[in-house]
Amino acid sequence: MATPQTYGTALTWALYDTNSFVILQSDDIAVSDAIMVEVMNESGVVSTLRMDDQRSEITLTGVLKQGSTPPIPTSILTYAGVSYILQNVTDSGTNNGFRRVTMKGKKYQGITTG
Amino acid sequence: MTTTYYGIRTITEQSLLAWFTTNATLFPNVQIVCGQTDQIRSLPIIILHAESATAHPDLGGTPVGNFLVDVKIYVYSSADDSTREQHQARVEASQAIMQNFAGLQSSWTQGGLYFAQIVNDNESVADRRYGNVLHYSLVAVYPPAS
Repeated sequence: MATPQTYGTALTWALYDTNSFVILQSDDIAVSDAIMVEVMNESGVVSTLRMDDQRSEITLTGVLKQGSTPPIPTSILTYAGVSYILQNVTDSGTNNGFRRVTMKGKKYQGITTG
Repeated sequence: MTTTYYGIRTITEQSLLAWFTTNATLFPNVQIVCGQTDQIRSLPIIILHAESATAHPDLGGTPVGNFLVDVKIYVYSSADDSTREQHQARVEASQAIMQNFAGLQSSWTQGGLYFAQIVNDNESVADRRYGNVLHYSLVAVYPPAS
């Protein structure tokens, strides 16, 4: 008979950070490299890989606080210690619910944003 | 420093009572009470009951004092001393008061009211009583921290 498992494993719960003008509902962070060069040897097998020009893309969704206004694209938004350049902001509402703001931004390897 | 405590159902019932009391001329000789009361009840009566409150689901794990409140407004009349028309007039007046959202909002005693929507109006007759239950869904918030 298997021994009952009486231990637990702590996991990462919910969001990394908060925000001053919305109650954050979700975050989505994707990191990728714009440069990815594969060098093949004589047999056609990749023997060298160069990855560079890393960027971190973030999508944040939250409910707008009363009296607050969403930021505009080009402004800097800091989340979990990383400063992103906002590139797209959507402010949407319905006639029976809270207003939701979705912000998409990028942090580029070669651009200092603070 | 003292901590202020709130109860969203209490705030809702007290606010509804304030708004109905403001419009009391529409209900001559009708007792208007909150759901939680030790008052002696007599017919005709309107009971303002915040039956349940739920953290607003749109805010996920951080509802920050925002609630979805289920309100039932009970309108009872006795067939011995009211006509059916008089009872219906009380029901219609109750609905009209609730449709005046700006008035209801301004009567809110603590925090704020975002939204009020009628869900349904159910009618029944029992033991020579006319009874209607008006079901409303409200979205409200506690006052901010002071």
